[in-house]
Amino acid sequence: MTFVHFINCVALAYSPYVVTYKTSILSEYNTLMDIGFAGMIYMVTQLIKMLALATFFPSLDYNLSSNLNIVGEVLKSAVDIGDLCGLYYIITKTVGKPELKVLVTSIGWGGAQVLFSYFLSFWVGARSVEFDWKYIQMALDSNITLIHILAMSSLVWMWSRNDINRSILPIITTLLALCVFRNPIIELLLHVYVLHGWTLLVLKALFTFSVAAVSLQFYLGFIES
Amino acid sequence: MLEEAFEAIRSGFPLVLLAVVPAMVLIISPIAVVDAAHEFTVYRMQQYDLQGNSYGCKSAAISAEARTIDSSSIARKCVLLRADEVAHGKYLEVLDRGPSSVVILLQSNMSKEEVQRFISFEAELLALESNIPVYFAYENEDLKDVYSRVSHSTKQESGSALQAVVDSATSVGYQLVTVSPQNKALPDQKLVNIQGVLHGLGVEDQLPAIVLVAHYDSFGVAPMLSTGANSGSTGAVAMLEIARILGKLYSNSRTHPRYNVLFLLSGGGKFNYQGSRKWIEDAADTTGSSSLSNTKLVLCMEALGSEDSKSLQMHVSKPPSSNSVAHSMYSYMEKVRLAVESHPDYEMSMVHKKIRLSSDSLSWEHERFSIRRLHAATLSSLAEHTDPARRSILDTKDQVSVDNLVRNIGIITDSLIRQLYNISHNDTFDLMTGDLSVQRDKVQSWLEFLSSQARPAQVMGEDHAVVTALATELSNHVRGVQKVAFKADKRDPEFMFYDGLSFQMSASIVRSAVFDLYVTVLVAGYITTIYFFVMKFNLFLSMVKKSLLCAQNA
Repeated sequence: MTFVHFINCVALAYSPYVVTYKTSILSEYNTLMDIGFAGMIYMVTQLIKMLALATFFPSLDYNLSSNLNIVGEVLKSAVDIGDLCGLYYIITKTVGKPELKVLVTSIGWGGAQVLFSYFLSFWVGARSVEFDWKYIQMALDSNITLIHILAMSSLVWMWSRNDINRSILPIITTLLALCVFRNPIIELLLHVYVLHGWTLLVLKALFTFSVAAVSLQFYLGFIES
Repeated sequence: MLEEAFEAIRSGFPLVLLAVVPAMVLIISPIAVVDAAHEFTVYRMQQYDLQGNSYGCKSAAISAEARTIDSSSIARKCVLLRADEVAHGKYLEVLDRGPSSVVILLQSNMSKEEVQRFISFEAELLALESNIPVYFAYENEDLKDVYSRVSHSTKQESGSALQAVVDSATSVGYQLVTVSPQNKALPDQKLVNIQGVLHGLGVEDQLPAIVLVAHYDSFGVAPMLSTGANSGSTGAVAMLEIARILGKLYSNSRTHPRYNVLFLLSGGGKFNYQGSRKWIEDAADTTGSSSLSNTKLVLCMEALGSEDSKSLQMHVSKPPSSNSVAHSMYSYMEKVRLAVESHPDYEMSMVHKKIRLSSDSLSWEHERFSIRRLHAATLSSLAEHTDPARRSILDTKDQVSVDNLVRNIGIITDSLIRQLYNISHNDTFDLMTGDLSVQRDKVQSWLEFLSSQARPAQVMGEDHAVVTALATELSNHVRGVQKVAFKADKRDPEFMFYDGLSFQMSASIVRSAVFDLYVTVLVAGYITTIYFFVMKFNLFLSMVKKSLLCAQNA
C-alpha cells in the first residue's frame, strides 16, 4: 500500500525479537554471534530438509477438489523432525545458563525463520498498491512463531538433559510431537471448521500458547528442582 | 573439520549478512506487482487530428483514487460516471470540479430514452476538447461492486466528529491504474480502399460509368467500442449484394449492359471521407480526366437500415437537372417504390443541402465528388446529416432493421438495373426474381459479421480480417479487385491517428493515510507492551507461581 504500511508490518513482525534481545540477558552476554550462528544452522537445516523432501518423499500432487491430504501433510511434517535436530545442535553448541541457551536458540532460529519467510512478502506485497490484511496477519504470525520456537527449544533442552525426571519424559515427547505436527493439526482443524484469515490466526495463537504454557510450567519446575 | 567450517561461518556471518541482504533488496525492488482486486478493459476516447485540428482527449495515463459524482471532493481523483445518469450539463459540472480523469460505465440495458440522451451526449463530448483522460468501460459485476462501494464510502455525510474519524479509518477506496498507458501519434497508419470494376460491353474508355461508394469503418466516442452497425456496415453490405447481382448480369453475354460500374469500399469514411478523396485524386492523376468525365453518377450509400425510419432519402448537393442520370435514377426509384405494393407508407424523398465549404467536415460522402463537379448523391434512410446516431458507439446491431435494409437494397438494385439497361420508365415488370433477388440470409450474415466487431479507421490496416473478408467477397463477383493502402501526407497530414485505444485497468483496494497512522499507533502500543512484558518477565513468573501456590494451598 504505502511505505508506512511496509514499515508497520516490519515493525510488528520483527520488533518482538529485537525487544527480547535488548531487554533480556542476551544483550548482557553479547550473544549476537551465537544468534547469527543459530540463524546459519536454521538455513542449513532447511536446506537439508528440502533435499530430503525432494529426494525421499513422494511428490504430493495437490488436488484442489479433493480436500484434505492428511497422510501427505503428516509425511511432510515428519521432515520437520529435522528442526528438532537443528535446535538440539545449537543448544549443545551454545555455552551458558539454560535460559541463555534457550533464548539464543529461539531468537536466532525464529528470527531467521521469520526473516526468510516474510521479509520478501512484506517488501513486495505490503508496498504494492493493493491493501490486504494478509500482511498484518503475517506480522502477527511471526510473533506467534517466536512463542512457538521458544516452547520448542525449551522442550528440546529439557529432553536433552540426562538429569530429567524419567516420568515426565513421555509428556515432553508428546509436547514436542505437538509442536512438530502443529501444521497438520491446524490444517485438520481448518478443514473441520472452515476458517481463514483472522480466525485461523486466533486458532494458531491458541494452540501455540497452550503448548507453550504447559512447556513453561515444566521448564520452571525443572529449573527449580 | 566441520568445527572449523562452522567457526569460519560464525566469524564471518555478520559480514555476509551485510553484503547479501542489501543485494537481495536491490534485486527485488524494481518489481512492481499489480496484484489488484479487480481488472477490466477500458476503452479510451477518440483522439485524432483532422486537417490540422486536434480532436478528442489528449492523455492516457490514469493513476488516481476512484470517486463518484456524489463524492464530496473529486479534485485530482478519477471520477466514475454511469452512462445512464450522465448528461451534458452534469458532465461539465464534473469537469469544473477538477478531476484527473473520467471513466464512464456503459450499461447493457439502457432504455430508449437513455440511449437517445447518451447519443447526443456523445456528440457533445466529442465536440469538447478534453485534456484529461476519458475512458469507457462496460459495467460488469466487478465494476458495479466498485462503484457502489466507492459511492458509499465517499458520500457527503454530516456525522459527528467521532463518526468522521471512524469512517476515515475504516473506509475502503479504490486506486485505479491503467497499465502502461501511452498515446503515441501514428503517422504511418494506413487507410485501405477496396476497389473493383465491372466492364460493360463495348469500348471500355467510351462507355458511361456509374460509381458505387460505401465506407466500411465505424466511429464513436471510443474507437474500440464503435461497431457502427447502421452507419458504416449497411452501406458495405448493400454494396456486396449489388455486386453479386450485377456480377450475375455482367457475366452473361446476353445480359451484358453498356455501362461500366465501379465499386469503391472507401477507408477512413468517418474522417472526412479520406478514402474517397484518395480515389478521386488517383483517378484524376492516372487517366487524366477522361475516366472521371465518363462518370455519369456517383452513388454513395450509408445507413440504409434505420429501424424506425420508413423512408429512403437521396441526398444531393444541388438538384439534378432533368436529363441527368441522377434524376432518372431517382425517378426509377420512385417507380420501384410504388411497385412494392406491400409498403404503401414507405416514403422516398430528395434532400437538397448545399456544401458548406467553410465547414471543417463534409456532411455526406457524395460531397467529396460534388466538389469535383461530378454528379453524386448519397442514399440513406437518415433524413438529416446531423443525426448523432451516425457517430455513436450505441449504433449497434439492435438499432438496425434487416427488413428495412433488404427492402432498400432491393429498391436501389432494381432502379440501378433499370438505369443500366435504360428501361422505359413506364415498365413496371418485376426484375428482382430468382438469383437477382436480394438474399436476406446473406445480408443478415454480413451485417452480423461487420457489426460484431469494432471497425475504427485506426485499426483497419491491410491485413485486418474485415478488410480481407470484404476484398475476398467483392472479388467473387467483380473484376480487378485491389486493396489500395495509403498514408497521410508527411509534411501536411490530412489526418493523424493515435494509439492507445484500449487498456487494462486495475482497481486496487486502498486505505486512507489516516489508517496507516492508526496502525502505527497500535503497533507502537503493542511493542511497548511487549517491552514491559519481557522486562518484567521474572516478576510475571513469580506472580504466576504465587497464584499457583495459592490455588494449591486452597
